[in-house]
Amino acid sequence: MNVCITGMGCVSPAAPDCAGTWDGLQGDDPPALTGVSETGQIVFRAVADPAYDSGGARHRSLDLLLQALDEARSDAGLDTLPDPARIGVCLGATSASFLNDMLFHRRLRDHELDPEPIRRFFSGNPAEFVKARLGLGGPAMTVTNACASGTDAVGIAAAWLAGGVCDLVIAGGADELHTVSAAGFYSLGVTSQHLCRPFDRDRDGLNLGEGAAVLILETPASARRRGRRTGLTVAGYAAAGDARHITQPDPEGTGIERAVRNALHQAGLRPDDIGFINAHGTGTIHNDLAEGLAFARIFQGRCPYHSTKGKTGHTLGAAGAIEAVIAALMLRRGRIAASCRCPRPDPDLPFAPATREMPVSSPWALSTSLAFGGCNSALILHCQPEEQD
Amino acid sequence: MPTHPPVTIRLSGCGLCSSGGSRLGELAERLGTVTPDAVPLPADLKKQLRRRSAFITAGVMAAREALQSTSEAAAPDADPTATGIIVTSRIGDQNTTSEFIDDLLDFGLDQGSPIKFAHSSHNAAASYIATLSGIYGPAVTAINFADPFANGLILAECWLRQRVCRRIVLLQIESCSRLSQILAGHAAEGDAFVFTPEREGTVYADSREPCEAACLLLSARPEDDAGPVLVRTDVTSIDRTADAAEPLPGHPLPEPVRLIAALLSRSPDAEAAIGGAVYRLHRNRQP
Repeated sequence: MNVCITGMGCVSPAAPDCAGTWDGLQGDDPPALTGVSETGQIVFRAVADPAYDSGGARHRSLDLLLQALDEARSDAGLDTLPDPARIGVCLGATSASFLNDMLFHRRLRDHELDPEPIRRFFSGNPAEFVKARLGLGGPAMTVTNACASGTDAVGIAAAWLAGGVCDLVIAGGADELHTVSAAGFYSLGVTSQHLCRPFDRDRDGLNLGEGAAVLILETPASARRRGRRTGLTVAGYAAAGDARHITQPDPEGTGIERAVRNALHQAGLRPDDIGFINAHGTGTIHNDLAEGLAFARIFQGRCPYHSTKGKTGHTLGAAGAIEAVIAALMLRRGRIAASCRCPRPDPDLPFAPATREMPVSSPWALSTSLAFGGCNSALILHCQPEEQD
Repeated sequence: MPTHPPVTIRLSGCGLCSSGGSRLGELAERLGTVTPDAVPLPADLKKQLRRRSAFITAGVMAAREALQSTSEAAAPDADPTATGIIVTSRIGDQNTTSEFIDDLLDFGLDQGSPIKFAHSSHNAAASYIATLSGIYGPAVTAINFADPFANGLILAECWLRQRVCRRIVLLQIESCSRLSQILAGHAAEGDAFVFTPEREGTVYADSREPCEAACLLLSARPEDDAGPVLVRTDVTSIDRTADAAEPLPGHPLPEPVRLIAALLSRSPDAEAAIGGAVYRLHRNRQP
């Protein structure tokens, strides 16, 4: 697989754009827009540009998506689109793919039908929204694989390009803080009243976040035709299922292990080729341990890994895309940020995460996602030396 | 552009179920052909599906029907890690989402049911199919108002040709929810404020059944060579005068039903319009 990343955009609780993301990932402090949900759990709001605030006319997910999309298009030099018929859209989402407006449902139970949320729902499917807005003719798919949606969307986009379905794909994910999602994660007992501590011994749950990330993916031929740099690429992607439980990951991490090994195989790499791992690392007891055990079996303790969710929160359908962009930015910078708020790594982890900033030792990075339903996904990115900052 | 070695994709099984049971027999009867006898659900599977939503139940049953079809039964030792699942839907399991929200409205935001929340996730059906069928390959769920099944078919072709998987269990599932019934009622009265897909099919399922699911088993395994070869043609539409009437008029899943009908038909070559493409099934020979 050799798919070029010619543009990126990212808005998260850490920063409003790619340029600010590295600084936003430093230190142990909470992000600037940290708040508390209606159930008393810590949540992180995205640093959204007010210019994209639709005031509720659209899902907030779409406001965030447009912010990231405009940054990515600008980065990719996509003011004009090469051949709209050959451009696809593949985006991960959770909230925007549901008709989950609480007030709408309350009125519906009283036999009042409010058409506005229905209109918003039917015009708000993220991939179809972008396709219609830009007048594109390629496929538009909204991936709803829960917390792995963003990673899978990038992987599916890469498969379309490798399969000749498209020349260019707008890929990524977008999600918002939503009352129903927050209540759902609270009901599962996996959210925390404290700032999350991925991979730490005392971790007690995740902090929900929101954001969006867009990657402009192209075939090398398309990128060359447009005169764009081709040094940052998606080198491999794979997904694998646990086939075990509706919410909890396989405790040994066998599903994510297979996904990572298959992605390495697809990229033609050995585990030692990977420079670092941006782990899913939610801060829940089960996720972090399963992931750490899988990394130990694959990498034998020789690959640094970290979680950036201490700074972004768990952005659900956007998480995989945001973390792919973060991994790409770190490859370009040649440095990885520390896994924040992990003063005492879990002793049950065979090897500890990176708790300090360090240089990247190879041009390949791995980003992983685990999700409800036993979905596990792994994405491998590559950065040529001349692409580094 | 990477090149992939040619891969022959075969349609080696199908399933068509409502939450009440198989509808393959009904379709076969309309087509004047025969299908293998439906295999009753074993007791352990029935137990696993107890109290599960119609969306999950119909999806699991359709997938099981496809996996138990004749050509598949001849090659039961499939590598479970080489089989993928793609579930598509226009809206997903809206009833379960509504039930979870009802609880929040009735009992408070801190009193939601974790089981209902977990099952409201769009990929819950794929998860049950994987768990109950022992499938460990990639599983993707996609929600789109326009061309959901066509999207799934495109991805299935990519994954098979790129050897990501050797078999794909591809489904479309649509449920008839309280919401969809209300929307259908308004549309019937001319108050069509709903999104209108560019191509065909309604956004919502207006069915007497709580849920309908269609499943196709696509295979790139040589041992599945009993199934017809599936080919996407350069043609973008079928002359409707030449095309037979819809195999199951009013069915909420017209596109996968067309492919299933083509699979069940006795014709050596059959066609089905899916999204903006026409697929041809070549039986007993290479295209």
